[in-house]
Amino acid sequence: MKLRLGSKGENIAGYLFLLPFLIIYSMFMLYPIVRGFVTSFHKVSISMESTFIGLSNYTQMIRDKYFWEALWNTFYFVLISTPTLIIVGLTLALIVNANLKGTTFLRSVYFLPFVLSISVISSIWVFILQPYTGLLNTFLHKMGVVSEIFWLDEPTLAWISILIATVWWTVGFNMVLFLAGLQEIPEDLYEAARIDGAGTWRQLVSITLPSLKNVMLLTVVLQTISSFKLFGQTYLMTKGGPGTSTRTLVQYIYEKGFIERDMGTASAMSYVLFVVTILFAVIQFKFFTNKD
Amino acid sequence: MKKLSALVLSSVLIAGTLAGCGKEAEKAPNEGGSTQAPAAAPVELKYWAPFSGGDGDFMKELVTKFNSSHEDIQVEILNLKAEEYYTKLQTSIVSNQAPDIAIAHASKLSELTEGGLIHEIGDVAKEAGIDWSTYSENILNATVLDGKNYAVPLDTHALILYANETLVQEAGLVGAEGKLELEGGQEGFMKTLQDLKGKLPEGVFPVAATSNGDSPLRIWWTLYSQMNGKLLSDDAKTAAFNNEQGKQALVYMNQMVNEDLWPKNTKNGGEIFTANKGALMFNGGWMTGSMEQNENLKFIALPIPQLFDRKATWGDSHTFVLPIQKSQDAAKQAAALKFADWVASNAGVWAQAGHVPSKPAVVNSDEFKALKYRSDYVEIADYVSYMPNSPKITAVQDIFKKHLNVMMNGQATPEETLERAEKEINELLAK
Repeated sequence: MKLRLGSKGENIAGYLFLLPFLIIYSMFMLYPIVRGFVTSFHKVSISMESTFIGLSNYTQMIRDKYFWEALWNTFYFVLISTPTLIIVGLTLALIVNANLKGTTFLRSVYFLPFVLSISVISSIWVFILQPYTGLLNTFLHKMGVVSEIFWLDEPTLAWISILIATVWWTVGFNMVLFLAGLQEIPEDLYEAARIDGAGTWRQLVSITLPSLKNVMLLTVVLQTISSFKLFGQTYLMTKGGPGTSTRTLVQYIYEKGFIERDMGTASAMSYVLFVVTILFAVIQFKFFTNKD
Repeated sequence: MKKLSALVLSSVLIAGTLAGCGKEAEKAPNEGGSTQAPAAAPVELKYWAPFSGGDGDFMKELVTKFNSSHEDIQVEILNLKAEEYYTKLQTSIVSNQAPDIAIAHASKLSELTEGGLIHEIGDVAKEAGIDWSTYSENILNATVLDGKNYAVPLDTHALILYANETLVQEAGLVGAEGKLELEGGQEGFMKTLQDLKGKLPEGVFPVAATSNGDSPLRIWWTLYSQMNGKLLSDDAKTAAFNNEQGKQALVYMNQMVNEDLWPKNTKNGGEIFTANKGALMFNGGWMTGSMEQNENLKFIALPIPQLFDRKATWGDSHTFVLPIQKSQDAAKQAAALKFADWVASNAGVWAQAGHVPSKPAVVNSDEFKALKYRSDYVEIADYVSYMPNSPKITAVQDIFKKHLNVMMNGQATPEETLERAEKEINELLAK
């Protein structure tokens, strides 16, 4: 696509239309990004006086074992959540895209949790998963399970619980993205395939999945980024516990910045997360586009 | 595609409606004095508080009363969410948009003074006519840093012991006079719990208390304070709790958990107790206000018994502070402290929330005595034990809570807990 360059007047009008957006974008996006970078080289006191300390925040961060733990926890969640959310999202999209009765209803049902806020989601899952009085354990006891299962207090189980809650909350969004992709695939491709005797599986592998490549790329990138930003679920469901075993980088940044009031270190860690996230997004774009 | 966009659109609409429902309409009461114009323009004060639920209603009631009885001072309250309260308060002060008066917990005062965010109030208090001798000494002391007054205390809210009347009666713990009979001393109390476990119906906890977060820290601090323990060194530069007493308190808690007297990983002790599933509960006095409204629950409220060398219990206070302003207005400051002192003097309403008022005169008033339960634990005002003053106390407590959580989970011993917490707290304090 080539840009048509209009007259000077048209350009000015265009920029004027963009202006409100640009102002707000610079104030609340660009400025904080730059300011955060600057802050990461400063020691900031409670009363917001800052002194330049060079790379100290970064060296301190590298020596902090909790930083590495939080970074690993974040990676771990990206690793377990991204494939799960992609596969479940795609499966749901395939189900609701089928010409069956009730799919419109199902679409709304699957998407609905996504409109709820994270505090609501977390309260629901704590209500379900908490020991002694939780819905799930009460049910299991009725079914004859005697021992108390601590869904939110054993590191592995806690991660599974967080994953389940996250899937339930956000998978609807991925489903909608895939659904949009599915509906763009021309019906005649399937028709031709059926005439050639291709079965459902063959159609899925040879038509559906290849056609979804662009949507897949978008979804994987968006999903990875949002998994890197995990905070609400762990903070509200496990408080990062037991101990610090489900504390993610964003939570650690929050605690450093707003509880310990160490804005410098918090900014430094934010930049690590920023760089890591960008790196992953770039790698994914490369990985997907190279195959063309 | 049409269907899809319709779906997305309707979802967005639903989201909008839901979000609208979620937001509480927090209107400041604007009743008293807003219609008739007084002779001189009244001093208008902005007042911030972190009170939710019952606390918020009682405070608004007090503000309304104050406004209607004072033509010269009008207070406008803004109730913020507790979780984000201090962040907002500190940001507002730094950006020169601070309220004229604000609530702060006594335990936060050191953080606020260190950052130069609140005023020393000695002189203004004199001008406002505050007589410090009308306040309970122990409570007042928690608001004095380096010999200077920084806040007007409103109350103390401390850890107390609740008992489910029905359950302890069935277990035979209630004597002829209708009073709860607990054996004193650490062995006696533990024995009571063990007996209870044998007598209580299946699925009922001898002790219901939340196992993570603030609750275990407060319980440990109570036990440790009963042994005269210190959290930090006198200069607040190093941790001072890794000792025999600190360990003994943790071992005591550990025993309750290991013997299933206080079942492991309890998520919400208050909820379990309220559902008649717990015989005893360690919790804050603020539970009284909400639990007495539950018709299905009969309970007894008591100070935590003396298990070790002396009486003590964890506690904190709500206090009034004067945030630093861009330009100081002496008239406003004096008016603000008059309001604070008035609220403290009229805290009978506030006591309905379960807190113990800071002024002995209020405690001795008929209004206070008419309230059930409160008088049973009012003595805590004399020996409530506050966390030490340190600008890093919140972060210190967070480290401690984190390690305590692991121990309560059965994944660390008391010794490991103290050692790890000591090491990290020392690192934090050295920064």
